[in-house]
Amino acid sequence: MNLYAIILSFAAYIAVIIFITGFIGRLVTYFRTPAPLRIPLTPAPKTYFGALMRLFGNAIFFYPLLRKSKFLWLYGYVFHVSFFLVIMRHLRYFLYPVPEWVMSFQSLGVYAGYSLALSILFLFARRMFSDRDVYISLTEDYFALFLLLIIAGTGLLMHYYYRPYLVDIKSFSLGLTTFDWSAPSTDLLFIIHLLSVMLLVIYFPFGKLLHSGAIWFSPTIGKPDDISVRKYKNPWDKV
Amino acid sequence: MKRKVYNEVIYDEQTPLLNVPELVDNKTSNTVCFKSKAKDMEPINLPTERVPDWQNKAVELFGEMLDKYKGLRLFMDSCVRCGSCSDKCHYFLGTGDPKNMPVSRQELMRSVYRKYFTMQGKIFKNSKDCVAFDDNILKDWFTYFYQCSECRRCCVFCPQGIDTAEVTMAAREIMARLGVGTKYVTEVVHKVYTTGNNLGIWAPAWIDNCKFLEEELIEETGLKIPLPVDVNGAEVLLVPPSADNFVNTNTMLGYAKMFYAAGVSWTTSTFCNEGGNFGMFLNYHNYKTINNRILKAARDLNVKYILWGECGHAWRAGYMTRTLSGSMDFLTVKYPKHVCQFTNEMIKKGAFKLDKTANDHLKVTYHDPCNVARATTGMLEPPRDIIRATCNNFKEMHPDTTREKTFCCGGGGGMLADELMSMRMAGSKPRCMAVKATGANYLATPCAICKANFGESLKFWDTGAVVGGVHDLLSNALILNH
Repeated sequence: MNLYAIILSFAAYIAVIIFITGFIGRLVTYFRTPAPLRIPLTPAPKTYFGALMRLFGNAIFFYPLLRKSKFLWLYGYVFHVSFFLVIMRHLRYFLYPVPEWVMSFQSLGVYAGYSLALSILFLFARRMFSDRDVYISLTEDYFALFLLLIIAGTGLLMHYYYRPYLVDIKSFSLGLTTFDWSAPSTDLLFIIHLLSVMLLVIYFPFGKLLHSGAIWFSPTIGKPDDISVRKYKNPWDKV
Repeated sequence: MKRKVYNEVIYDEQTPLLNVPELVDNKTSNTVCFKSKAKDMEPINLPTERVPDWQNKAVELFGEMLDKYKGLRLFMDSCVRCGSCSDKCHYFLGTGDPKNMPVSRQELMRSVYRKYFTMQGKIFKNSKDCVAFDDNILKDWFTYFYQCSECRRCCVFCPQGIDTAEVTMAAREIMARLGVGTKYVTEVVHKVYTTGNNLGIWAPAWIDNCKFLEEELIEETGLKIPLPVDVNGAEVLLVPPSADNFVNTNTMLGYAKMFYAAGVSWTTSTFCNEGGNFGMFLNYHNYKTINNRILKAARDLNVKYILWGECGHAWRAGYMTRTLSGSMDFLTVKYPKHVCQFTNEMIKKGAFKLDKTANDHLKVTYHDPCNVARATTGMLEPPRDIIRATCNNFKEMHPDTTREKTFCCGGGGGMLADELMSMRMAGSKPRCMAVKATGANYLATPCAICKANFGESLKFWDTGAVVGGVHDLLSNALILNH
C-alpha cells in the first residue's frame, strides 16, 4: 500500500458518497414535494397500474421520442442500452469470483463500448450541426457528452491498444469493496478513465443526468386520470 | 407522406406544407402585452406596483413554488435538451422565434433556477447558463411567458413528460406576486369579481340576453323554450363561457334546445355565469377564488348537479374543482362533468330525435381545444360522437394535429389580447393549414376562446371555413315535438 493507492481510493469513496447522498437527497426532495393539482397527460390511464405501465414504457422505450424522430430515438436508445451493458460488463472488476451472468455480458459489453462511443459522437454532432439543437444546447450538455466520450474512448483504447495490467486494476477495485486498498496500474489512459468516471459520478446528482431519477416521479406520465373517483387534497391549502 | 428528421413536414403532398421555420432571433420580442393597471391589480389581491426589493422577493417566491409543485421541481432538473419539443409549439411554427421553442421558454426559468438553486450556479457564477434575476430576464419572462398558451402540446412529445404549462404558470404567478401582470388577464379577473363573468356582462343584461334568445327560439321553432336564469331548485347549473350568451349565441341556443328536448330543468346563475377561469393565467389565489364561485352558485341555487359549458379553460379549472374548492358531495354528480359528456349520454340513451340532413350544407371538421382534449381528462370522444350523430359530412384533420396532438387555436392561456394579434394569427397558422387541407367549411369546437380566435384567423389564413360550437350542430339537427 502506498500514497498513490490511498489517494485514489479515498477519491473513489468521496465520489461514491457524493453520488449516493446527492442522488438520494434529490429523490427524497422529489418524493416529498406535493403535487396538488393533477396533470396526467392525455390519453391518461385510469388506474395506478396503468399509469405505472405507461411510466415504465416511457422510461424503458422512450416512445414519445419515437413520435418526434426515429433517428434521434435510435441513437438516444442505443446510447442508453450500450451504457447499461458497459456498466454490466464492468461488474467483473468488483465481484470475485465473477458470477456466470456477469460473464455473459463480457463480449456484448465490448460491442456496446463501440456503439456507446458511436452514439455519443452522433449526439455530439447533432448539437453541433442542427441549428435548433445548437440553439438549445448549453455548456452542460456538451460537458456531459464530452466526459462520456472520454470515458468511452479511453475504455476502448485500453481494451484494444494499450492494455494496462489488469490484475492490478482488479485488485484496486476489489480492494475498494473490501477496504483492502492497493495501487492500480499507473497507466495514463487508465488514470484518465478512472478520474473521468469519478467526475461523472460526482456531477451526476447536480445536473441534467438527474433525469434518470426524476422521470419516476413525473406527475404527467406517471399519474392516472382518476379525478372522478378519487378526491385529492391540496396539502398546502386545505379546503 | 414526406417526412424529414429535422424539418418535420406535417401534411401530405396534396395539401399545403408547413415547414419548420428558420430561426430568427428576437422575432417576437416586441410583441408584448400591455402592463396591468393598479385599478385591476388591487381588487384581485395583487401588488399594484412592483414590490420593493423585487429581485430577492422573486427568488424567494421561486423557492416557494418549487416547494409547492412537484411538477415544477422535477421539470427544472429533468430536461436533457433532446430537442423533441423544439418543433412542436404552434407559436414557434408560426413565428420562428427560437425563444418560442418550448425548451427555450423553460430555459428562461431554468437559467434563473440554476443560478440560485443549484451547485452549478454557486460554482460557476459567471456562466451564461446561470442568469441572475434582473430587469432583462424579467422582460423576457414577461414577453415569452405571455406568448405561451399553456396548451401542453410539447408535453406529449417530451420523453420526460415535461409540461411547459406548469413552468409558464409558475413564472406567471411569480411575476403576478411581484406586481407584474398583463392588462388583459387582470382586467378579466377583476370583471369576474364585479360582474360574475369575463366579458363584464351585468346581471340585467344577462337576463335580457336570455329573454332575447328565447324570442329567437320562438321565431325559429314556434316553441317556448326557456333559457332560465337564477332558478332555485333547478336540476342543472350550467356554467357556460359568458361569450356563449353574448357572441356565440348559437351554442347557447343549442344548450337550451338540448335541455328542452331532454326534459331537464336547468339554469344559469348571474352570480357565476362564467366557467373560463383566468385566475389560472395569473396565480393560484385567483384561480381558486374564481373556481369557488361555481360551487357557491350551485349551493345558492340548490341545484342537483353542475355542467361545465363549451369552454376549454373552464374545463381545466373545473376538473380541479374538488382539489381547489372542496367537496362536491352535496351534488348528485359528485365530480366535474362537461356538457358534451351529458349530451352524448343523452344521445346514446336515445333521448333526442335527430335529423342529420339538417347539417348537410356543412362540411364539418372538429378542432380539439387544448384544454378539453389534453390539459385534463382527455375528452376526445364525446364531442366527436355528438358530431357524428348530428352530421353526415364529418372529416377529421390530419392525425398529427388532432386528439392529444391537437394544435392550439393561438389565443388561449390569456393571449386573446388585441395587442398580441400578430402572435395570435401566427400561432393559429398550423391549425388553419390543417383545416384548409380538409376542405371543410365549418370548424366545430367546444371552446369560447377558440371560437374568438378562429373568428379572425380562419379568415386571415384564407381557409374558407367558419367556426362554431358543437351544440350548434345539435341545435340544427334536433327535431322538437310540438
